[in-house]
Amino acid sequence: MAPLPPPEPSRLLETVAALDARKIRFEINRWQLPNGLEATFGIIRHPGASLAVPVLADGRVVILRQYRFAVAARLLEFPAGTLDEGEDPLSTMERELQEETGYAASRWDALGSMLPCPGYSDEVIHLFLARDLRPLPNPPAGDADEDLEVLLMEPAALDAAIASGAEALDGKSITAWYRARPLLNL
Amino acid sequence: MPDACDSPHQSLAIEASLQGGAYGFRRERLRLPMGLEASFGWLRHPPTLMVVPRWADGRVLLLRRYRPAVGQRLLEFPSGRLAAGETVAQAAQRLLDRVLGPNGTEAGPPAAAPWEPLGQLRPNPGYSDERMALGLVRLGPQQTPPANDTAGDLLQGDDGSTGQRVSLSPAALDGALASGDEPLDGRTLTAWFLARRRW
Repeated sequence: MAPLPPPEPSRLLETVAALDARKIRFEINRWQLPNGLEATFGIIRHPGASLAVPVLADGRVVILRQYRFAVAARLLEFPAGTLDEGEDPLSTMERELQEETGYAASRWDALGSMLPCPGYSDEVIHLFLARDLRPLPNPPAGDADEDLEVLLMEPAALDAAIASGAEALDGKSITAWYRARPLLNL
Repeated sequence: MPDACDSPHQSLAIEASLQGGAYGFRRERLRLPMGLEASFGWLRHPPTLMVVPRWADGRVLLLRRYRPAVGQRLLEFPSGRLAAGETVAQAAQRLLDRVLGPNGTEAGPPAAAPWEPLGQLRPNPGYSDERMALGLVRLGPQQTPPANDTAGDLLQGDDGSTGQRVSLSPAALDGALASGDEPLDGRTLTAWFLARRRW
C-alpha cells in the first residue's frame, strides 16, 4: 500500500457560531480545505478520551452495560472516560477503570488511538489493554450521571454478542477489542 | 433486544440549540432513568450507512478520504446519509454508483447490490444520536478493480471532502490496521470486524 499521507490540517477562517455544553463545544466554522475549496460545517470540539479493555487472569473481560441517553439504549461498552484538562491518557484510564469497574490494573499496553466520528468530531480516543487486575475493597465513586452495570464475559460470548445483530454496537469498544485480540492470542 | 431500554430519559427543556448543516446541536436538560437531572450537550444527526464492498477476487474496496474535522486522510469504507424515503439497500447502491461510477471500473457500477446487514452501529453514543447501518455488498464477477487501485479524487462528502479508491487484500487491510501507523476510523474498524467473519 502507498505510504501513509501526512496530516493536512484545514485552515480555520472563521467561527460563525458556537455552543458550549459541559466538556464539549459545538462550532460552526468556515474552513479552507487543503485543495483550496472553502466549506462551512459544524464540528464538535472534544478534549479527548481514554478506553481500556480490562482482562482478568482467567481470560474474561470486564465490560459495562451502560445507559446512553443520546441513543436511548443500554450499550455494551468497555470502561472509558473523558480526559481532564492537562491529564495524560493513561492517568485518565487508571482513574476511570477504578471508578467504573472497581478494579485496578498493574499491567498496561497501549493499543493506539482511534477516531469515533471523523466526519463531525475532533475527538481522539486512546486505547489500552489492562491486565493483572485486582478488585478494590473500596472503589472510588464515579460520575453521578453514570448509569452502568459491570459484567464479566468470556471472549467468545463477547464475539457472539457483537455478531448477533441484536446489539446496538459501540464503535470504540469494538475497535479496541479488534486491537486487543492479537495481544491476547485470540 | 439486550440493549432495549424500557424507561428512557425524559426531556425537561431545550436550553440552547444550533443548526450546522444536516445536523443540529442542543444543550438540553434531561432526567435520566436513574433519576438524576442535568444539562447535556448532544448532536441530532440523520441516519447513515456504511457499506463494505467485496470485490469478486476477494479484495476489499476502501476510500482514502480527507476529513477536515481531524485534518487527515483516513482509510474508510464508503459511507453517507440515508436520503428521505430511501431504503438502506438503495442508499448502498447510490454510494457504490458514486464510488465505482463515471471514472470507476470499465464495466461500470454493478446492476444490483444485495445488502447483507452486518449490524447497527452507534458511532458516538456519548453525544450523538447517529444510527449507522453496516452492511456487506459482494460485487459481481464482471466487476474488476482497475490495475491502478486509485482513481483520482472522487467527490464523496457533503462537506466537499474527497476520497481516492484503495483496494486491498483482507490480510493487507489487517496489516494496515495493526501497524499502529494508521489513524483508526472506529466505524470502519467495526464494519470490518463484522465483515471479516463472513468473508
